[in-house]
Amino acid sequence: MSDKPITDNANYDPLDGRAPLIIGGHDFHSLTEATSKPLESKATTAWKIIFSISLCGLALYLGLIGWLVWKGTGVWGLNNPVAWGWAIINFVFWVGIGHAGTLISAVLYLFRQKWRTSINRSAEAMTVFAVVCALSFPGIHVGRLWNAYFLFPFPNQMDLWPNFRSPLLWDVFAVGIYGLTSLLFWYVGLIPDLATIRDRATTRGRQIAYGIFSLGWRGSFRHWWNYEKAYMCLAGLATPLVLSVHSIVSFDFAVSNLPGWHTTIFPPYFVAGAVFSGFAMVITLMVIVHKAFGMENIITMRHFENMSKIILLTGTIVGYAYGMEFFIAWYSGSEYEAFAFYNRASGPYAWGYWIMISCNVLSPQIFWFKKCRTNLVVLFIVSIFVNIGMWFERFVIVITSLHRDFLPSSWDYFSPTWVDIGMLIGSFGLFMTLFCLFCRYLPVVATSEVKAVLPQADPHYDEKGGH
Amino acid sequence: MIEKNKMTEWRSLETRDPDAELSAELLNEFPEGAAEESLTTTSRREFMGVMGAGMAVGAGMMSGCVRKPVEHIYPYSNRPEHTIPGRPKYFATSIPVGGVVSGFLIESHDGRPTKLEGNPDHPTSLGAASAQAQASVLDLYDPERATTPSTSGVESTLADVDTLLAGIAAKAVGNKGEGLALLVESRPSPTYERLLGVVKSTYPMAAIYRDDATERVNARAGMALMGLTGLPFLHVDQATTILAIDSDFIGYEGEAVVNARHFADGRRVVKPGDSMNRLYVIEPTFSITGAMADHRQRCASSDVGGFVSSLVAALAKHGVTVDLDVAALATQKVRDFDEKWIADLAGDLAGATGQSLVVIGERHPAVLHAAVAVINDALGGTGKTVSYLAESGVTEAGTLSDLVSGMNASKVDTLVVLGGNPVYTATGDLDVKTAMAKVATTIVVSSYAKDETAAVATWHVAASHYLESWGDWTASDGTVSVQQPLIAPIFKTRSELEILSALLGKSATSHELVVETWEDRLSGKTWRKALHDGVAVAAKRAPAGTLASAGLNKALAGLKTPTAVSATNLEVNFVLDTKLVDGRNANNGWLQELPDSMTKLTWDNAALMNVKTAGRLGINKTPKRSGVKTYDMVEVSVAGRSVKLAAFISPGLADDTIFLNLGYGRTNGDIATGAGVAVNVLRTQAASAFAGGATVKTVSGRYPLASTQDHWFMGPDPDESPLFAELGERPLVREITQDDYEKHPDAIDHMGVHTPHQENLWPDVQDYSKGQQWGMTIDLNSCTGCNACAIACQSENNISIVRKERVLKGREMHWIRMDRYYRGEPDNPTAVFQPMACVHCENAPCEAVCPVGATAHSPDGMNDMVYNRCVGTRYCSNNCPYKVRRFNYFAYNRDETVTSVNPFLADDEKLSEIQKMQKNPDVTIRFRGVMEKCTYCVQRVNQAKIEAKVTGDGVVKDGDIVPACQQTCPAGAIVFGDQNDPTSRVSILKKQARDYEVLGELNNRARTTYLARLRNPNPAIEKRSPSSHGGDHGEAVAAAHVGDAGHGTHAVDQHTEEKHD
Amino acid sequence: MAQIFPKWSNYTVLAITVKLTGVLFSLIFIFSWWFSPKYTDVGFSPEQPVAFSHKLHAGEMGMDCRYCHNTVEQAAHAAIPPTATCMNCHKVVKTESPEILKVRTAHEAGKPIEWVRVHILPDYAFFDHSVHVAAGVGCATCHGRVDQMKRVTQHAPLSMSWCLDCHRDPSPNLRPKTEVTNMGWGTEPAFAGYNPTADPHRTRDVQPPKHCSGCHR
Repeated sequence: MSDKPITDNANYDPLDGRAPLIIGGHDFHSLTEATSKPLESKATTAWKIIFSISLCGLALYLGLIGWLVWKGTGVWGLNNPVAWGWAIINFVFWVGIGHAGTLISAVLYLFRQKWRTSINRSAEAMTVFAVVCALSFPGIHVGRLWNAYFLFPFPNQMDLWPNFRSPLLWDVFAVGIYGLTSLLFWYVGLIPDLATIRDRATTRGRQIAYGIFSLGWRGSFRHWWNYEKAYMCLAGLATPLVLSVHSIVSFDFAVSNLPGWHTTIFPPYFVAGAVFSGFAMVITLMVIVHKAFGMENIITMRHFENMSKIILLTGTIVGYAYGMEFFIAWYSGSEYEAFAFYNRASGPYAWGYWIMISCNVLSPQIFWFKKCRTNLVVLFIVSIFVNIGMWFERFVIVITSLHRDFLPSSWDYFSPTWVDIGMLIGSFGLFMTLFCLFCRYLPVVATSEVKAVLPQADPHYDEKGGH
Repeated sequence: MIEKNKMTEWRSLETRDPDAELSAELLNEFPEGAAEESLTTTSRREFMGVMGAGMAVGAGMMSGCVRKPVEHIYPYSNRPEHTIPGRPKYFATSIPVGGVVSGFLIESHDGRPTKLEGNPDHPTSLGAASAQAQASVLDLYDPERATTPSTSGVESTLADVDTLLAGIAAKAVGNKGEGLALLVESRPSPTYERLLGVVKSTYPMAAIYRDDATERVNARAGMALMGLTGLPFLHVDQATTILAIDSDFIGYEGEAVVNARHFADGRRVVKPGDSMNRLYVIEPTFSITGAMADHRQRCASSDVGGFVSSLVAALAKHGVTVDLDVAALATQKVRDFDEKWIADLAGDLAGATGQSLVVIGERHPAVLHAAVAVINDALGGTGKTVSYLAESGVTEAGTLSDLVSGMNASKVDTLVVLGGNPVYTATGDLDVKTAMAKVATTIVVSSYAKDETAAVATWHVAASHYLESWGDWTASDGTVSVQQPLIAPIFKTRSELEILSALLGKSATSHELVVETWEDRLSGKTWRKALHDGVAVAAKRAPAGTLASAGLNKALAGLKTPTAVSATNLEVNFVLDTKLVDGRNANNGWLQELPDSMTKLTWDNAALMNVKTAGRLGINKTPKRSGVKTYDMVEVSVAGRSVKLAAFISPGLADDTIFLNLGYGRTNGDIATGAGVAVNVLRTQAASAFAGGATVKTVSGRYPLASTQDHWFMGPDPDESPLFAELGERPLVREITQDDYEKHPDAIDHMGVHTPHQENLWPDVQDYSKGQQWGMTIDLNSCTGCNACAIACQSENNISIVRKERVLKGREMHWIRMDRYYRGEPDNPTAVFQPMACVHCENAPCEAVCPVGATAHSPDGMNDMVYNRCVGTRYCSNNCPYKVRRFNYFAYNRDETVTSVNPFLADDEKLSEIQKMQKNPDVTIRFRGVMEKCTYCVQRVNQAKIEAKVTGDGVVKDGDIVPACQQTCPAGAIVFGDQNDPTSRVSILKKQARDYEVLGELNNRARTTYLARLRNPNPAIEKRSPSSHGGDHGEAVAAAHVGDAGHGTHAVDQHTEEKHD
Repeated sequence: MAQIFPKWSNYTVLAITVKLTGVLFSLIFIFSWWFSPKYTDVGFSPEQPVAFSHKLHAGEMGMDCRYCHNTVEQAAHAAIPPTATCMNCHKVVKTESPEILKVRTAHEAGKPIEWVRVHILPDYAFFDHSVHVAAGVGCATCHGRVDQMKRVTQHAPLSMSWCLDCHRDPSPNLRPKTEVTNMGWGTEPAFAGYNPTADPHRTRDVQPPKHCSGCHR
């Protein structure tokens, strides 16, 4: 093997073994340097700009929540048939985004997919932040926010419990647990790297700050031994959640009796869609991150290619689900069901439906071509398309099913207000704010894990004639 | 710590009144006279507390900040006899609504009249009440009512008014009333007419004029042509074959309330094969009478004369000779009209001699009224299906135009306008405003100081509401009843009777005046009985004499032929609005927001036209959507005058006719202002009902119209998408001809969608086989879609109005949605109605999904809605297949003019005092952010159950519970009761073969079921054009087959209508 | 270099976790106890404008509750008596007392006496006295020994769970209709032995509503 470091691991196929995941001839030290740089150097102007824009978005979000509580849910475009609007759409959208994180960290971990190491940290971060955004919506969408605690089971003078038959209540627990587990998982993974930062810290302040959160990690054998066990257990716990969360979110719709909602296909279809959108969001963020922090050699084209393959797969599953919905609508012979889907494709909201189809089903198909899988620009654009498409998927499900159901006399049309739009933008503000802070103050790459996949980590590295 | 109570729901004014100190006006309420029913002025104040008034700021008690604030209790000083605080009392009264006198019972909660019901003992009510009557209670509590007299805008006092009137009286005594003019409305009241008579005799020079849009001028003139002084009175119950010529006689015209009841009685099919009456309708518009018709033909107003002539001719062919100069009539021609149809009609009428009835609408000229009378006579109807009752004591009076010319000729120096609003209602060719400017003193007596007329008058006297003053009324059948107040005048107001007596130099109260009229006939016991029963003198009216058509034929000869209506000669029709009449109800929020029966328009009028006409005029079939629906604007011009308003397509109107509803575009209050466009300017004395030669052209600009149901069909609109075309009509309103029903009684069931047997997702929470189980049936064969139930419900259950901008968003709050569907081709459809409220599913989809259990089932089968538990996730509404749940998106019980300082504070506290007084204390006021819906009037159910428990074995007798909608329904279409009791009315009805459950295939097991509608077409016409009535057995069977085809084996199939209990 | 964190800091994480759990549970306790009417309402005994003593009237004089609260059997409200009721006796009895003077002046002026409400239910809870009296629930059951109160004090929490306890199992709180206003019934021997189902004077067995619309309309 040559000494010249490999620069393109996507098109390089060595005679023995696989192409390395980390390129550019990194060794342990240079890796640490590379991943710690963003934390230890001054904030770049690019970061400052993005961060301040995000802060504006966050301010908008908080402002609008205040307005909503002050005036009532009427500030949204909701009406009588369409009692759920953008709040629920955004909720499902964000929960979906939150999926890739756990999938990458937990499932790929259990399957020993080494390539996950470069991206899992930021994917998990994204998960946690997305769940934060998601959870903010069901909270504020109720009519009497100050009574929302009725949803929790606690002893009270009314002798009343919440209704455990209601999917909304299942949601409260499902998403809550998911958020908590993801947070723990993320944090446990962070500990060794926090310790590294602590040890590299030059100022007292940083030493204390990172010191607190690295829980006195010394990297001793016992630490590593417990760490690996804990990590494995959490991975085991998180894996079923990947499937359960979005299945339960889909019950909100599937358990109801509304044509277009009342479908058994929803759980798998929602999970696939969630992974789909999750990975799209990971790509979007990674493209930015690895450019902004010059990590092309750590987050490499091969990672992107793998992710684009998953997008192609899940995108096709989603496409299949769309087709199957239509088939069942016709095959069931239920005129209400049939109408619900005819109405999606050709009713007043047909534009939404066709945006969804073209973004979710058509655009990923170009990933059949390696050229596109390995072209950052294409990757970035498609990932954006998929995000848009998945938002519209929820729009189509929620709005078009509600606005025309059983009795034509009750049919009406939903149009969003500026508050609806502002809150969608605002939730992105919240998400980006958190992510910017993450990029600035925490290692965006799981350094310790990446080290484990370096050639040098191989016990027989030296025998292979490494230096 | 706590500034005010934090309760988000409240029960009654008393418990919410911020400081228990209502303004003196509000407290000073008691009916004068009739002492045994009344509270004393002071005791009224004291009762305020009995239920615990007064939320004084309460701090500094034990565990101060957590405890509720102090409430005070103000007991009576002397509690009147028979008064049990918190228990409502009922008093009989009587008033004309939309010009028709009827008797009512008013519910009074601790001195506050809150709800109106029909008086079962009154022949023109029979216990029912119209939407307008139901809404009239709200006017009493209108915060914009004039509260004091005023002179040219400056607030004045009643004392000043008295001196003013005394001065006028003194002057009039001197000059025999020269220059004094009275403008009155039609008031069929003995005391009123007595006083007018006295005025005439004391002031011979004084002039009296009458102007009232609801007065039956043409009918009266028609009778006059026949040498009769009186009006026709219909006996719909005696008629088996009815022809309505542009007459909404079971909808909103004349004695519609009783007519509807009698008409429905003629259609109450108990078992297949029962006989039904048959209704033919000829009309330019599409009235709800037309929607009930077995056969309906469209015909422009100007063509009606022609129709009558061809009818007379056709009758002659069937040996019915009508003593009419047909030749004269024959000059009239009906445009493209099916002569065969008329022949069959004539045959049917002739066949039912003595049982046939022809009715013509008030909008048509006297001659035609007379002609119809002659036809009825020839058909042997006189005295059987219609009788002509003499009117007595109607004071001679000039018309408005006489008055205007009088004023312009400066013959008038003092004008007193008693009610009415001529400046607004006058036709375009009468300039009342400038004429009034020529009069030195103009006194207007009306409820609103901002009335168009009051605004230009020198004096405005605030008029008392009918619940504040005494009176007496003669119904059209001769029944006389006393109008008895339930509350002393809240503000500084006078009743019209009091003004009249003041003009005569006396200052008698309305009570004294009425007593004066009756003291020789009624006194002591009989008087009290009259008050109690609501009937003073039973119906008795002499026949008006015998018909003599000589005068008529002379008139016929002088009849001139109208130019035929065509695309180039559009006809504009002016119709009294079904809600606002001529504008008198314009500031009534309930009526403004009530969707019109046919167009479903709220808060507006529009230029109504059918699809064909709209197409010719280049008007878009569908509105544009920019947040809300906006419509094309048109300019309608007649004889040089024109108005601009939105165009609205309404199926079933005659071609080339435009319909403009009167009563809109008023400015007398916040509610009325901005609602619609005034169109009186287009009318002339010559053509006040309809005018030919109109031009309509589209103009720039768009206008938002709040229509609550823009979808016409009972299924997907085939024009909208080719994909929808294959989906048929949905089996929601099931309809079948009487014959088909007789042949296959099970056809109704077969119309349902066949579905595989369905299991419950969750086990039943209750055992519905035991105990009393409440259920309801709604007979679509009787329901006329008149909307009375919707308003009754609104007033019983404290339902808020939400204003136009929110109806536009689709947030109306009515618990009863009057669904209207058209069938057949858009330009000549039939229409059906279906009142849709919560159907109280046993297997309710809403209950399973509510995360906090705010909607749950009661053991007697009701779907309870618990406002104070609701957090407002709105999931229940999504999961309700009927979409009958209503959400408080904003705090609708907050006075819009006051903004809440704290969003967590109960906003209902911001209702103005006067508005609070209208609320029903037995029903919780809903706060922002909670869901609400029909409760089967649970407050009435509970009251009945409590009484049954207190007095007996706790079992409620059938008929003891009457929901507000059932109580007021003119057609008697709604029946509520215990469906486990085989002898109850409701369970007997539910056993009928035409009883079905809407969306039964969803296994909701609804407690409200519907009785399918039957049509009774004339076989002869039916043979020629089977499609002349829309959705029918043919389609139904087809639907059933689609179902079969769709679903595998029949073994697992069940009928939707399979009964579950 | 010196350690930044002392040894004890190893246990802080554990400590924090434990404390947080503690806080959570105490919050729940605070809500379910200190915020419940059991704690906030029982014993509420406001100053009244007139120092009327039920102890004297209902207790020592043994006046029947219904002499004053006479609507209790027909209406939802056991109305506070009109001032006239007081004057029936106090025209002649204790006319000189300053308290009676207040009553008399109020009556002569036709003005109400501003009593302070003691038993307050939320406005969305529709309680009906008549049906409870008909079922044989004694006044004392909810209002306590009013005959021993100089100033009326709230005896029961009047909370929803408290209502439901009885609605779910009414029999312990039922008594013969004749004993409804008997304040001391609970202390009498007949009390122990009473069995509502065996009572021949009862036309029906008592089935109180346990569903929402029973009280909430």
